[in-house]
Amino acid sequence: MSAEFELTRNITIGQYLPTGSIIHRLDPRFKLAAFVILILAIAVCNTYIGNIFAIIMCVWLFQISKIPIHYGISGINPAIPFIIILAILQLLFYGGIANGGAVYFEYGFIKITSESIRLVLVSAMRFVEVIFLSSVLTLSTSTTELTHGMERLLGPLEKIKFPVHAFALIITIAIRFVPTFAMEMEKMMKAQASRGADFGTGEWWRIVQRTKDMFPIIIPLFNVALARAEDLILAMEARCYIPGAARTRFAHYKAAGKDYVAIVLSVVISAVMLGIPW
Amino acid sequence: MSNQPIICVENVSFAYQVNQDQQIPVLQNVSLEVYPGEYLAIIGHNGSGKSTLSKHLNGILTPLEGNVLVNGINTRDKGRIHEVRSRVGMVFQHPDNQIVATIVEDDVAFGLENIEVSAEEMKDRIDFALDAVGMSAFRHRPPHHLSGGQKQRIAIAGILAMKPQCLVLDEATSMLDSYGRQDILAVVRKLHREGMTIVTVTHHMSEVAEADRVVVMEAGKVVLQGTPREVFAHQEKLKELHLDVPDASRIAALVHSEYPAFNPNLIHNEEVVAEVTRVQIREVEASGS
Amino acid sequence: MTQPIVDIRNLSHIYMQGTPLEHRALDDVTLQVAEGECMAVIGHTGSGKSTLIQHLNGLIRPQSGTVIINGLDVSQPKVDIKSLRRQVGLVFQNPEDQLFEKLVGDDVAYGPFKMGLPLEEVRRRVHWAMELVGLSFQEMKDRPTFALSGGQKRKVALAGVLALQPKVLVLDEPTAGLDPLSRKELLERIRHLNREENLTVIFVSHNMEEVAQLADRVYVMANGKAVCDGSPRQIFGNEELLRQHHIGTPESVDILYRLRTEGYSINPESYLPEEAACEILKILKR
Repeated sequence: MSAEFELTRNITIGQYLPTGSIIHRLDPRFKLAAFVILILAIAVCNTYIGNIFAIIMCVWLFQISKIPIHYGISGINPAIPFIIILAILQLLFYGGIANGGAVYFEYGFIKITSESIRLVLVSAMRFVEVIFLSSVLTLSTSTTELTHGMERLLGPLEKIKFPVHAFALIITIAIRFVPTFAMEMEKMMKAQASRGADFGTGEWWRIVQRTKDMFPIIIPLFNVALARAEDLILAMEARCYIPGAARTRFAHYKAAGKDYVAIVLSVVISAVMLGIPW
Repeated sequence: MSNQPIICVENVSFAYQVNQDQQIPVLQNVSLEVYPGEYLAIIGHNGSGKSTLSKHLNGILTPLEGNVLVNGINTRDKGRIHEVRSRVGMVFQHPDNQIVATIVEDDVAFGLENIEVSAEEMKDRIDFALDAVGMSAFRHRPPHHLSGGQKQRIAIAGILAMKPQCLVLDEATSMLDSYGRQDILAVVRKLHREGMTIVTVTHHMSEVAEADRVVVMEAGKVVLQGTPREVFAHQEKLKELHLDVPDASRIAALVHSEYPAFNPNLIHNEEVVAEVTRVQIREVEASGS
Repeated sequence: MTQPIVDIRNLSHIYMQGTPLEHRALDDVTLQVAEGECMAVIGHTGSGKSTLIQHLNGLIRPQSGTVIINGLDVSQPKVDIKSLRRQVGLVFQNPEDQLFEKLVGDDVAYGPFKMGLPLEEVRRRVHWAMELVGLSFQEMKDRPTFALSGGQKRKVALAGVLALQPKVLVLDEPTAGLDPLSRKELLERIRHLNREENLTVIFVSHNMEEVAQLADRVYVMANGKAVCDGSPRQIFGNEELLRQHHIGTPESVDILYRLRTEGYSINPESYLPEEAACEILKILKR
C-alpha cells in the first residue's frame, strides 16, 4: 500500500549497475553484436526446449554479470498484461489460421491446437528472454558505451547518408532521461492525488474515463519534458554541439580475446537454440 | 584594467518574435564590456532581460541589432562559433537539464568531443576539470544519484574542460539549497582567484557582494552599474526595482540612520563587525581624551 | 492542552526494505502540531523531511508508529483517504509544473470537482481560493495558464490546493526558484493564510531568511531523526546545532555570531535584520 506511487523502482531500462563483471568489461561493440545475434535467434527459435535453453542462458548471464536476477524480473512485471492479452488472442485465433498440430478444442471459428499452444508458450518465453537480455545489456553497459557501440556498428550506414551520430545521441539522451521522468511522473501523481485525483480505481471497462483520469499527469509531464528539452538544447549548444558537425570520441575500444569469445559463444548458443528440433 | 575586453556587447537590442507582426522587446541598446579576470554580476528581477543578455555572451542568441564580440570574433560569425563558445562557457539554472551522459566523466567529455579534442588529451583535461571542482571521486558514477550542488559542479567541470577564459553562470545556484550554493560559490571563488573571468546572473545578493562589478538591468536596459558598494548604496532605487540588498547593507543603513557615525556603505558581514569595532574604539578614544 | 491537529508518534519509514539499497528515511519521529501553528521543517537534503510530509496526507502510509490528523488515524487501512487529503493540502516543490487545464479557473476547480461538489459551490471555492492567493477571480479565471509568469503559476497551483479548503497546508520549498519580488509576495500570502484564515501551516525550506520571517516554530531533522524542536529564537541562537547539521544561517544571524566571537555581548535570541541593527546600536550606545 505504501508503495502505491513508487515508480522509480519498477523501471530497469537505462539503469547502469556497475558491478565490474566480465560482462561489464566487454567491448560494447562486441557486446551489442552478441546481443543482436541472440535476439535474432530468439526471434526465429520456436521450439520449447530451445526457448527453455535460452531462458537458462539468460539466467546464467545474470549470474556472471553479478546482477541480482530480481532486476530482470521487475522488468517483466509491467509487461505481464501484454503477455496475457497476446496469449489470449493467439489462443483464440491462431489455431484457425495456421494448420497443423493436434486439435484440442473447437467451437465456431475458435480452434485450439497444439500449434497454437506452442505459439502461446513460446511467445511468453520470448518476452521473458528479450526482457532478461535487454536488462543484462542495459544494466551492464553505460548508455554512452551502448550508443558508442551502436554508432560503430551502424557506422557503415553513414555512406548512405544515415545520420548515425545524431541517432546515437538521441538514444543516449532518451535513456539518460528515463529515471528523471520516472521521478517526475511519481511527483506528478502524488501532487494530483493530493488534489483528489485517483488513478486506476475506476472500473476497467470504462476506458474513456480511465484515460481522462490520466490527463492531469500526462499533460504536465509533456510540458515539463518540453521545457527540459529546451534547456538541454541550450546546454548542448553552449558546449559547442552542432548537429552534423564532426566530433572526436572520448571512449576508445580495443577488442580483446574475451570479446571474440563472447561472439563465438553467442553464435554457439544460437546454433543450439535453432538446432534443437522440439 | 588596461587590457582588451574579452567580451564586447555593442548597442545590442533583442526581441522575441511572437508572430509575424508582433515582437516583445527584451534588450534595448545595451552596451557592456567584460574584462579578463573580472568578476561581474548581472542582477534584475525576472523579465528584466538579464538572462537574455547572458545568452548573448556566447552566441546562443544573436542580437537583432548591434554586435557582440568575443575576443574580437563576432558571435554572428557561424563559422567561428566553436571558438566563441569554447572561450565563453555557460552553466544554466537546472542541474538536471544540462547533463547528457549517464556517467560523470562521459558528460565532462561531451564538450571536448564537440571541439574535436583528441582522446589522449581529453583524459588529461577531464582529470583537470573534475579535480578543479572537487568531483574526481565521482567520475564513474551515474549523475542522477548526485545532489543538485554536485550536478552543478559536474556542469562546471564540463565547461572547464574546454579551457574557457570566461565562465557565465546563468542563475546557476537558484535551484540549490544553501549548502549546495555555498559549494558552488567556493568553486567559483577559487576559479576566479586562479584568473578565470566570471559573469554571474543571480538573485542572491550575498553572491553579488563578492563581485568586482555589478550591472543592474531593468526593462531591457542597464540602469545602474558600479562596484557592489556603489550599487548597494542605492537602497531606495533597488527597492523600486524589486531587488534586495545584502542583509549587511540593510543592517548598516538601519544603524546609520540612528547613529550617523556608523558607515552605511557596508556589504560584507565581516565589514559590519569591523565597523562596530572601529566606531567603538573611536568612541572610547574620544571619551578618554 | 487541546488535541493537536497533527499528531505523529514514533513514526519510522524504511525505503526498499530488504534490498541492498535499504534506507531508513524516518527513525522514530514524534511531532505534534497545534491548530493555527506555523511550523518550518528544516534539515540537510536527505534528512527525511520530504518523507515526513508525505505521511501527512497519506501518500505514504506509516510502516510503524502512528499518524493522526484531526482525529483521523492514517495507520488504519480503512481510513477515508480522500477525506484526509481534503483536510491536508499538500503543495509540492515547483507546483506550477502540475497545472494541466488550459484556463486558470478550470485548473483551480479540479480539486473541488473531484470532490463532487455542486457547480455553484465549486465556483464559490475557486473564487475564494484565487482571491486568497492574490489572483483576481474576474480578471484571471479565463486566462490561459501557459501565458502566466512563474510566480503567478505558482499562485494558481497554491489556489488549486486551497480550493479543497484544507485545515492544514503543507508546502515543500514554497519559494524555491522565485525572484525576490514573487518570493516576498508569496510569503505574505502564506503568512496571511496562517494568521487571518487560521490555517495550520507546515513548510519545508532551505531558505533560512524565509524560516526566520515566517515560522513560529522550527523542527530540525537530520538522518531521519528530529534533532531539535523550538522557536526560531532558540534554533538560530544555537550556533553549534546549525553548524553540526549543515543548516545555513540567515545573514543577520551570521553577523551576530561574528560579533559574539569578537567578544561583544549579544542577545542570543535575536535573528531578524532589524533586531541585529538594534543589538549593534545597543553596543554602540553603551
